[in-house]
Amino acid sequence: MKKNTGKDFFIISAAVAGELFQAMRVAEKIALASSNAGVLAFRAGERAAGFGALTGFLAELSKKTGTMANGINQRAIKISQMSSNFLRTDSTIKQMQKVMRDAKDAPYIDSLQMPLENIQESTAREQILFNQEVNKLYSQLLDLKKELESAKIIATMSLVESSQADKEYRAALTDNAVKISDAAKQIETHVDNALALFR
Amino acid sequence: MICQKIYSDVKHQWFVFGRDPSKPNKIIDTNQYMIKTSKNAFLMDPGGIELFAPMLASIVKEIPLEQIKHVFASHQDPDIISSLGLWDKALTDATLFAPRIWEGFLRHFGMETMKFKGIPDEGDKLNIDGIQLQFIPAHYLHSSGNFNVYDPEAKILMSGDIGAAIEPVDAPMEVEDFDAHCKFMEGFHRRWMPSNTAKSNWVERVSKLEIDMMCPQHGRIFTGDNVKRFLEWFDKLEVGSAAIS
Repeated sequence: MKKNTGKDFFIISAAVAGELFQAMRVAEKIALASSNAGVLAFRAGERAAGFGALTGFLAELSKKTGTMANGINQRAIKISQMSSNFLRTDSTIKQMQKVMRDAKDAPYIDSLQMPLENIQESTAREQILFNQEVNKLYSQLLDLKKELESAKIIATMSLVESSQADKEYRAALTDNAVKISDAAKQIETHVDNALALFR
Repeated sequence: MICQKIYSDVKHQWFVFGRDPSKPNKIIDTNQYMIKTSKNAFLMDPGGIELFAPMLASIVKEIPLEQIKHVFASHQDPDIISSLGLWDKALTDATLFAPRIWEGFLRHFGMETMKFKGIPDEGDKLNIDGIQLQFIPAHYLHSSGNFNVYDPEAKILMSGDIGAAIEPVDAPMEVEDFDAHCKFMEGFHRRWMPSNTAKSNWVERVSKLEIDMMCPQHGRIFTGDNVKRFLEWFDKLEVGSAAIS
């Protein structure tokens, strides 16, 4: 993972939030598709029982994916806010240091020393919290990626199960399974894009 | 940046900061004001983010930083107070006095440490070490929530954008020839001041005050009879009309 600076993560966290927002929308699609598939599987009866069982997993998985993505999105927004605060603090420190150099003969120049030290100390504390948040964000993205592996496997199994159904329902079930599989891949792409921002 | 003491008595002094030669060219020149008392300092319209360092450097020539306990923003414009996010970090124990209606907007500049005291529409008073300052309503001149600061003891009115002039950065700090100065003010007032009603109401109220010095946020300070001349000129000026012509 790249070295953290407020300036980098001001942009990165906003981009991660953007990717995860897209991922959440796709997760909603999976939830809808798996719900439709569940109804179809019920109608298709005994021969689509395997598919029906999988749709329950998918629904649960899409819900979990949505929740995880939302959590990551919230953290990314928080990091973005922390980053913008960092930029302001950093700018204050630089400008105060400049004044201490340029106006060193001013009668009350020493009065800047303590506020400057306080700002620097508080920034150091904030930097630790900031790094923790960034590490958590990265871990959450990796966790989400693992969950998506399961989603992809289930989506592939659904595709196999759909081929077992009666002809009347086969095409519709296959179509749903493909939609679910594609959506899982789309989410994975968004998560990979988000992870790539850290490298 | 020029720092000039414009008033002094045993209890307090007024300073103006401005005419910063290091400021980027396309940034409008601004005047910042400060009242210094025995223990406190009151910083008025501290300026834009680009002015933070020059202002800080000028202030520590006059007072220790921790003496600034009060900051005032006449309204919400960036040239007035976009430095807020930096002052908020640098000042450890300060309160911002600003029009109450602008609080939610001003916080966009960043304000975590500083306390906020919203000035109600009808105005307010502030006592600093025995100096009784008045926040005079100047709404719609130009901002919809806008105040001047009046110091009855020094007879100084910090008038914000009222009396502002757009002229070169090396212009003198004081109006010498009022008639010649009008051309630098007319366009600004006609365009930026939207309400003749608000203008007339303000002129009527302010005419009753004893004013030796009127200090705008851009341009030059009016002294002596030029204050009265300005009030008469402004009263007659048709404002809010520049866009039509």
